[in-house]
Amino acid sequence: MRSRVESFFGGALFLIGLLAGSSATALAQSNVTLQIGCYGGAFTDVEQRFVAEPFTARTGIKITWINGNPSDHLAKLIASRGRPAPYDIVYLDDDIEAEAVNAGVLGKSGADDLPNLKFLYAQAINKDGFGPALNFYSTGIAYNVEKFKAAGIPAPTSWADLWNPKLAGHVGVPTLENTMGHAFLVAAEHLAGGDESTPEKGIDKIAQIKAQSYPGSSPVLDPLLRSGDVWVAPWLNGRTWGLIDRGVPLRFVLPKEGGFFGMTTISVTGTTQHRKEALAFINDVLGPLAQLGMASQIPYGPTNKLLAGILAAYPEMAKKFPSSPEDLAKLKLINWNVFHQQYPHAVDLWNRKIASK
Amino acid sequence: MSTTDLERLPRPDRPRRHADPWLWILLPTLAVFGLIFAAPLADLILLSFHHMAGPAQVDAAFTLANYRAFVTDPFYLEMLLRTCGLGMLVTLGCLVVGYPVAYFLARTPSRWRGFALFLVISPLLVSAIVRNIGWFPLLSQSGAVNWLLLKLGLIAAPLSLINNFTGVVIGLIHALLPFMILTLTTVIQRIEGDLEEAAANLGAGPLQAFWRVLLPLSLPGVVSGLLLVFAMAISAYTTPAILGGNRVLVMATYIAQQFRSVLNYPAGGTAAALLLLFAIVLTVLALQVRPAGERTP
Repeated sequence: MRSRVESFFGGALFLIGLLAGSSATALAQSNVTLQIGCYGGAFTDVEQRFVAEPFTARTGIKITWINGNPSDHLAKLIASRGRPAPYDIVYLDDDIEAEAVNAGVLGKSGADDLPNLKFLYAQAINKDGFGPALNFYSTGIAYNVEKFKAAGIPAPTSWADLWNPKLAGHVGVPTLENTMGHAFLVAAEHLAGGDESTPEKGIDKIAQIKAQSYPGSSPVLDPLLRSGDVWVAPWLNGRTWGLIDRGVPLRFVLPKEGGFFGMTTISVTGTTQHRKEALAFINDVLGPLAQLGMASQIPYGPTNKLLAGILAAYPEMAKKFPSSPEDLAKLKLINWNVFHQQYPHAVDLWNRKIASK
Repeated sequence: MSTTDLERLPRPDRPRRHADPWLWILLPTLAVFGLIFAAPLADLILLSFHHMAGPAQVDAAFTLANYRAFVTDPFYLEMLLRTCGLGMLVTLGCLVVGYPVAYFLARTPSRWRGFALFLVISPLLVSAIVRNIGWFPLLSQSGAVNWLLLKLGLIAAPLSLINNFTGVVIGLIHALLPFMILTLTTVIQRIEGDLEEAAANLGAGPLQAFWRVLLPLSLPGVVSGLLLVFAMAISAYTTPAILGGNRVLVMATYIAQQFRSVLNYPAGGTAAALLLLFAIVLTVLALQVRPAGERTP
């Protein structure tokens, strides 16, 4: 496995040298320290190893990670308006990024600032010029193959299959407070003939599911999927594969209506004092070295098109995340602006019709 | 004993000067509490007097609309009642389970007493998340408890012991039991064992001795234990969030949701202020309870 990963990096070496070399001369040694808001855990470790360390060695710019929940980062940015931002750069999920844009706390970054932007898939590029996505993940359906077989239920192919009466009491429905919950609400809204602007349709639809429980986060759902208490749940590719790799008899499918895009975006803040250095860092994050490094360690799909060929040569790894234009075609984008306008209303309906029934 | 003696002192004769050094000693504590606890709390409560003006933002105008919305909507009152009901069940559970344990700890001459005391406080040594997640292998439908009950033929289908109100009650009793037991143990230790023997000599059975002698004398401890556990139960967040399966919306989970997910600070602040007010009123009421025989000053 290890030698395989090494040879995998070897195979990509010339490509990386080509791109890293071109930007290496851009900045002289500097003594700036960048404050970066990130997630923590394996995610920050990967970014430290594949971006920050080579970046600091090359430029002298130091990195301080401030790890936390993305909505906490957003709250801090909003609280600091009118003063220098507590971060120069912030990693946010695309749903939170949309809120941050509305709150006016992010800076723009175009093709002139980020040479690597032209190598990204169109879905990764923010239409209004704010921070692009550095990876793709997906919300689909995770289900327990053995439990389905034992109960004589065919493998799910549609979001509507979660309403199968035979699954009553065995569906894990994510709450509205996480990414999967957001995507599942939109899926339910579409099934009920509405869209992001009609949360009442989606909530009424979800209220009809006889849920096993409403997990608020992955650490809560994981043991339920592992013990077999939950047979099926709208869930993320990465978390599902994490369990499959540990021997849990699960499968991850994208429904025929389409799964949903998730992505991690990276933005320069609106009031950073180190815009030039921050943009140089972001450009490295979008580069092939960093993205390949991340994909090899945690199941997030690169947004850099240059890697499609390499990923195709490693199907065992690439099957765990959206990795090709064909994969991306199976996913839908969510209109986060409309979603967020309705969000407080949606949570209120959820509290009344689902969380306290 | 000492407080009642002090209360009996004629007030005008009380040496006023002697109280001052104590105030100086308290000053650092008060300053730290004021700075890191009272000031942020006041700031948070102030948010509840404004309208939300976008995520994590409030407008400048003063309003009581958030409070009006809360008290006039049966949904919120139901949530407050659910929180209160949860607190009462947990408190009662802790009392029933904790009293015998506390009695044993207070009276036993056993050399295992230290170890037993360690067992009692052990839930406090584990992180709240681990403690709660630890219930899943035991209480889930395919968990140890259901497996045993099914094997013994006591039930026909697995019971729902987790991801609902039952799970939250079980988890909170486990988490808060040490506070009840430690409070009661201290109080029972101070009651002379001779009193129980005297009751027995005068013909009282064990139950009667407990009901007529031990319980009334331990009442102040019982009240502080009840109060402590109740206050912690109605403000608990982690246990309802993890063991409730998000089916049990209580004040604390609602406040967290509004602050961290919806970023509706006024709604969260309103609920937080009302929960605090509720806890203060209950505390003041509970402090009126005195041990049997003692008069309120």
